[in-house]
Amino acid sequence: MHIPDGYLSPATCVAFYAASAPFWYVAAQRTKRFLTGRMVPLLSLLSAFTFVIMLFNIPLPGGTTGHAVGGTLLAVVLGPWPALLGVTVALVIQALLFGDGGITALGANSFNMAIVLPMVGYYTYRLISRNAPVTSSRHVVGAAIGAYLGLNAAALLTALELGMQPLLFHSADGTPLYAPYGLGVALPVMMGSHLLVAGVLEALITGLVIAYLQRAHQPLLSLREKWEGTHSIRALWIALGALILMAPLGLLASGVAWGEWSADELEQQLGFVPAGLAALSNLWSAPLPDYSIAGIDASLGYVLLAVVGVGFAALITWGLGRMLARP
Amino acid sequence: MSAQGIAPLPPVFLSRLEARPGSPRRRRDFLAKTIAGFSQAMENALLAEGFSRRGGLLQGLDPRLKVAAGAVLLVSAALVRHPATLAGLYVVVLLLAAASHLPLGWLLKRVGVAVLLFTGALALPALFLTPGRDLLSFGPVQPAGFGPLTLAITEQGLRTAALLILRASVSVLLVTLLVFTTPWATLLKSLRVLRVPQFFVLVLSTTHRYIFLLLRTANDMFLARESRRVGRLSGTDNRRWAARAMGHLLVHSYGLSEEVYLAMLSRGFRGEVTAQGREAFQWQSRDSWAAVAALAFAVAAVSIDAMLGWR
Repeated sequence: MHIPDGYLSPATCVAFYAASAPFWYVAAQRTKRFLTGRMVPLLSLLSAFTFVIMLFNIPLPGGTTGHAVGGTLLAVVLGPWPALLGVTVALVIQALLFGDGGITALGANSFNMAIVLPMVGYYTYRLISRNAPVTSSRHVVGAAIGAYLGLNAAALLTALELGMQPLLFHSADGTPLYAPYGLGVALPVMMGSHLLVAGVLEALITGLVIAYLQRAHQPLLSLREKWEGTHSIRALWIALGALILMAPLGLLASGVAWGEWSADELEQQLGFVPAGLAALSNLWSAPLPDYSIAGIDASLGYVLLAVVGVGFAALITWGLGRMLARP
Repeated sequence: MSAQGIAPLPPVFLSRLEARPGSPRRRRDFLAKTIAGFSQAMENALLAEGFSRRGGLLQGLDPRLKVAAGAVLLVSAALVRHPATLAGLYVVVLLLAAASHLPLGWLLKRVGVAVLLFTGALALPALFLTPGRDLLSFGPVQPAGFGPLTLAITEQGLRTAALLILRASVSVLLVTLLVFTTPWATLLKSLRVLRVPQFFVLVLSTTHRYIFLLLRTANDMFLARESRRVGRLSGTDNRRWAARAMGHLLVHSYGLSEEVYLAMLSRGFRGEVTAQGREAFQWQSRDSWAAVAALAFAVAAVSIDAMLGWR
């Protein structure tokens, strides 16, 4: 997922440095406040830890191996802000010393792997494990699901960043100047491998490490609360708001997501509609088809529907959390 | 970092575990692969330190200049749009490497292989997938279940693949050149030129130091595991073991950070971060010439590129 130099246009690189900068600043301020003098040694050791575990080869079914990122693990144990700084420092060292990930792409790589990944992972974990005792299996499940979602959110962003390049940056005769594949290729390739393999590995490893810490080193698991106290999940709502505002980015895509064709679109591509599909396609008609509301500007419609969608998802998750939290 | 402070690399035979008798063609398993990865990481850092102390062209320049010029050249490599300009940049960077006594064959193998393995494989389908004027067509072929297909390499596809591979190579070469001609500690101090906060520079340098300690700890864990293993273990057992090793390393890292903090306190640390080991950078007249040359070169590359066209 480390984007090398040369894949992103200078404009994209500048935009992502600008997007990451406020997070780096806030993280430094917040971490300084509750860690004071401890910050330098702790962050350094954490970054070194992140660097080293990215070198761990983990056996995968089928005889191959993969490696974990560990961003959610750090966020669960130490909180999202120290994790943000720790992963960023590890990324800088990887880019400089080992040529893994680019220098111009560092802003984008940080945004994906050091900011979005631990944030999504951590707040998913918090939603699932709230008020559970330290030894509860909800911590393990929450961390695993958080790691899965966090890694996939980062992969999604990486795919969007790469997939938008040929759309926005090409020469007059249509030659893509940077990453050559559009969203139609970048999204299925990135998401396929991360939803099916890398995400599962990340979830498994994160869950197993938390289970190990529950058995072998519980004090480390209550560290975060000792530092932070109990704090609200306001940052989650801020991040969600930012993502909602980014929803109209989908309008840039040409065509339809692979595998999500409607009967009409299939007919255009194949020349016929498979009989089984034709029979089932009218089974359910959505109240708001194609993410659009009649009479409203397309971008605004996307944002409004994102709010509605997030509202529904939040309600369902909250309900599930309440059900699970009941002793 | 000095070579004395670093753990010795694991003996060579340990990274060739797959060649054991009785299992002649077995795929390298995760333990062997990880141990090899650890040694490679350490070797890489040691090599960088070694090269940075040779007396070549770039080693003799002020590190602040190298950081700034490296950044300017990286940006110009990102801005240009013609493969020929990038090829020119590539040659100049190689000349600089030769003038700095870096072994060219080794550098090309290291950077070339890494870029071709990753970017090359990624750019290959773009030859066919990018819409444009056909240069060379294969077919029509008729795979089972599909209509006749014609595969064609397009002009646009060829150009985008060349741009991607050249741009990635030039950028990696530039960063490698900077890191391999400047000792790490000096390089970090000169990052201050780019307005990187002092606190961040301190964390970076401390991290670099402890990476080697943690690499050694992790390496020991993997070696101990490998040396006690007789048969093959199931994937589940292996994953469980890797997770335990990771958990242990996390506990160890945290404990170590507490110890380092206490050590800092006992040496009079008051919570303020100040620049340490201020070896004065010396700006000499050759640095001014080099700065002018780098800037002129970047401007020339971008202007020649504009003249070549392909906006």
